Amino acid sequence: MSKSKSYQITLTGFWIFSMINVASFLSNRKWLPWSDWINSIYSPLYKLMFGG
Amino acid sequence: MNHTINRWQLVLIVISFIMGSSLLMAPNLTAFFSGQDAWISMLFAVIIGLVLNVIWILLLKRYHFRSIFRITEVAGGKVVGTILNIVIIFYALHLASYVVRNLSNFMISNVIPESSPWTFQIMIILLAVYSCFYGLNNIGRVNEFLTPFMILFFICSLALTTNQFRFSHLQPYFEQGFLKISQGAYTTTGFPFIEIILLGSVLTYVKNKDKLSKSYLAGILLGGSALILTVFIAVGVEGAYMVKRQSYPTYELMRDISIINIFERVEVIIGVVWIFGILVKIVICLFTALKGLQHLSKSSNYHPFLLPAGLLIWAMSNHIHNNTMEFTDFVGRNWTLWWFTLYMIVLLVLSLGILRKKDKSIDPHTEDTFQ
Repeated sequence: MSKSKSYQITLTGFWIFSMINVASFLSNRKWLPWSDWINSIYSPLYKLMFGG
Repeated sequence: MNHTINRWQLVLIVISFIMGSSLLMAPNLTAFFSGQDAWISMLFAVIIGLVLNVIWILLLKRYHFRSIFRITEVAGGKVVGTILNIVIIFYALHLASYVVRNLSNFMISNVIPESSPWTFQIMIILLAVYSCFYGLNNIGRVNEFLTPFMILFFICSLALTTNQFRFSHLQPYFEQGFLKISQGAYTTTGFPFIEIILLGSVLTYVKNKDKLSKSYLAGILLGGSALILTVFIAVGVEGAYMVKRQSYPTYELMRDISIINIFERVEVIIGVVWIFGILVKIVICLFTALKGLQHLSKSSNYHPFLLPAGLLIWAMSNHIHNNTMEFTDFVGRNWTLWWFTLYMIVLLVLSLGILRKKDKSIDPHTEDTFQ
């Protein structure tokens, strides 16, 4: 039962995550702007290391 | 599904993983900062990459080379392990989408400009999904057959450009100073030498694990040497100024091959070598993500995850960046730090696990169905 439950949760969750990304791309909206988030975290660090 | 590979196949997978993507981009990424000293930057990147991977492989050895998803759970506990596994899966899919985007950027900017990027993206993703469907052994054998030819093409292509090689293009040495050389090394350390930690999901399937560490590190050294040689020849033939200006200098370099007006326009050969390396890299990323999802779901196989994973990679590869310049700037600026974060987190969890003697609780002989 537990195996089946974790399987259903993982598969459903992964399908939802994938479909959000697909819908975001096809509708040309940035619902999950991964690159912007990564950039906002690491860009200041990079500037600190190399001065821009 | 057969996932078993031998040590030689692992070495070739490591070489393809390192040469895929980086072969065409490394000269530009390094020369942009360190000019004619780009090859010194690349040399530093290989040394740093080797040191990081020696630490990584020694830690995995303590856990008997079990799957990285199993190890994190044993070392960090159920909650930390599960969160970390989700993060690793995301990193793998995110990397796969960048590699796919890299391929389509290259194809529409250099090979077939009038075509749609979707054509190349969908074709390479379908190929990767198909390969993963049949298991790791499939790509291991294909790679074993094709890599020697790819290495031959690569060496011949480079050799044919050496008649235009000028040492004066590389001089004066160390002119750029340590900061610029290290900035050049920074961009190529994460891409591809830290990314390769994803192979932590593959090592468990190597048949004979006696000299596995040496094989893994030998693969990194060989792939890294190929990159140093590429940067060295690219700068020596084209000069740092031209290498800086081109997105794919290795490809442009091959355009200069001209032998008695018969042997010309052979640059597509290096394109084929690069695309094959890219396929191997996407397959390994996808395989890692799928094994992670299989581990989380405690399923007996990962086939149900193939379709959503393929769709996710395709969608992400298209909407991560608006254009090629944004893509290259992002990779040069953030990629190494982004991957180094994952490296440090996993390293910390694994080291704490060893301090808590969790590595002793992994039985090296029992097979874990879900790993």
